[in-house]
Amino acid sequence: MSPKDPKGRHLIELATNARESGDFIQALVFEDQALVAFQEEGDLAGLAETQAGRFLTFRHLAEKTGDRSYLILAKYAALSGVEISTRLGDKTSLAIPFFNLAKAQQTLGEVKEAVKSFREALKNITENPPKSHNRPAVIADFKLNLSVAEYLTGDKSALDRARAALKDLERADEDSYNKNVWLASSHIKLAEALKNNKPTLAQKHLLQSKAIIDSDPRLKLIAAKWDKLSKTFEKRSSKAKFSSKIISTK
Amino acid sequence: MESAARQILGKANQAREDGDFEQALIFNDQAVLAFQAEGDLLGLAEAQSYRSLTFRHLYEKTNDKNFLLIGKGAARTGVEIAEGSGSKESLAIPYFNLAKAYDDLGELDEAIENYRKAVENITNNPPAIHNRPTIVADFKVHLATSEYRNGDKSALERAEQALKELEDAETGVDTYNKPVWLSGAHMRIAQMLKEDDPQKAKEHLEKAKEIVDSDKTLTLRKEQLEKLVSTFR
Repeated sequence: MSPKDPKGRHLIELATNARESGDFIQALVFEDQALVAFQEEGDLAGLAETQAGRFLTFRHLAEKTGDRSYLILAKYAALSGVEISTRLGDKTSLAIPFFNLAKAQQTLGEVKEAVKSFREALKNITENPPKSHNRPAVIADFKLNLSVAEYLTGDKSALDRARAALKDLERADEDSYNKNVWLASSHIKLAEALKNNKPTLAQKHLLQSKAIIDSDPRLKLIAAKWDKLSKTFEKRSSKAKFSSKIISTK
Repeated sequence: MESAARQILGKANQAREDGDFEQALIFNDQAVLAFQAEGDLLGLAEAQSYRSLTFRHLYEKTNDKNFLLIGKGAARTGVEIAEGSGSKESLAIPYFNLAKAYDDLGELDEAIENYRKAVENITNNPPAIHNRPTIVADFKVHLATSEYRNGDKSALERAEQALKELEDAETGVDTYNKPVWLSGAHMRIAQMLKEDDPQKAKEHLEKAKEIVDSDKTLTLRKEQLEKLVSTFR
């Protein structure tokens, strides 16, 4: 750590590295230390950022263990991030915490709350974008997440908006890793959302997602998600085959 | 024998009482992962509930309201996990700590709502390790003093009654907790009466001081009392 680097920033970097390497408990330890350090340094944005980091760590723990408790921990870490950012008075600090909160709510099945939070996120990323995220691809990703959540609440017209956002994302000039992650997960989200109402279209998005994943070996986490989701499609199609067999023998 | 997670949580609580809040947070996170691995949802909820207390102390130390917001998040996590566990015995403590988080933030309506749920559950569905008259009385003091501060002046009588119940309750295992809760009850009543009945408020402050001065282990309470006394000068 150089003398110029404040302790909080250094700790949050260590936490990010620990999280990325899968050492989640160490990530939480660094995040706890960062919370205290940021407060001592009077860096409120850092405090909010630490809560965002904890949100990500708990989400990874939820994915690893399948335990809903970790999602609840993630949701309230994100909510604290929103509350601290709101107190900061800097509107450019709001978009990401709202987006994190929305994602946690959606994963927990709290779709109406997720729509509300995604709307706040989209409003802020459009009107008050933070410098680090002021790019068309980010806005398209936010729009897509909002539209999928709206579709899940029963607003079928949101499908057109989701597909338009997907087109925006495809056209956007963005770092190849980010773009592939967001595109692949957008197709996954659409496949999941359409599974019951439009199975053929859902299959199409599942295949499009697979094509992106296969083209980029860096997308390991998304590949694992795809595998999980595709199994639910296999079950569904074998069930359908089984039912049609019964009908045809009658 | 205590589970590994319980032992880690014990270390977190000890670190908090020793004033080493950063270490308390670290032990607390370690306890969360250990409880999850043991499949102990109630322990997980409890750990979050205690985590909120650590943030409360950090707020008292730094006066930074952000710690109260983070503490409220931890307390709400504890409540939501406890509610999802299906065990009524797991509810009282998380509701109580959530109420305290709202109380500190001045959100009295929400505080009262959660204190009521806490009193209801500690009375009707007490967890085995917290099934004692001292705890019930302490919860009632918190509820009544919040109701008074929210404009219900009739709550003074209930606060004094709960204080008497706390005084009369057998100390039992609460050799440390009882003086903490008693001094805390006097302080809460002193604070709420500061404007309406300054004489009575000072009497409660004096009683709190007597208890704190007679027990050298009440270091955190002593700091809180000094802070409160300074607002009376």
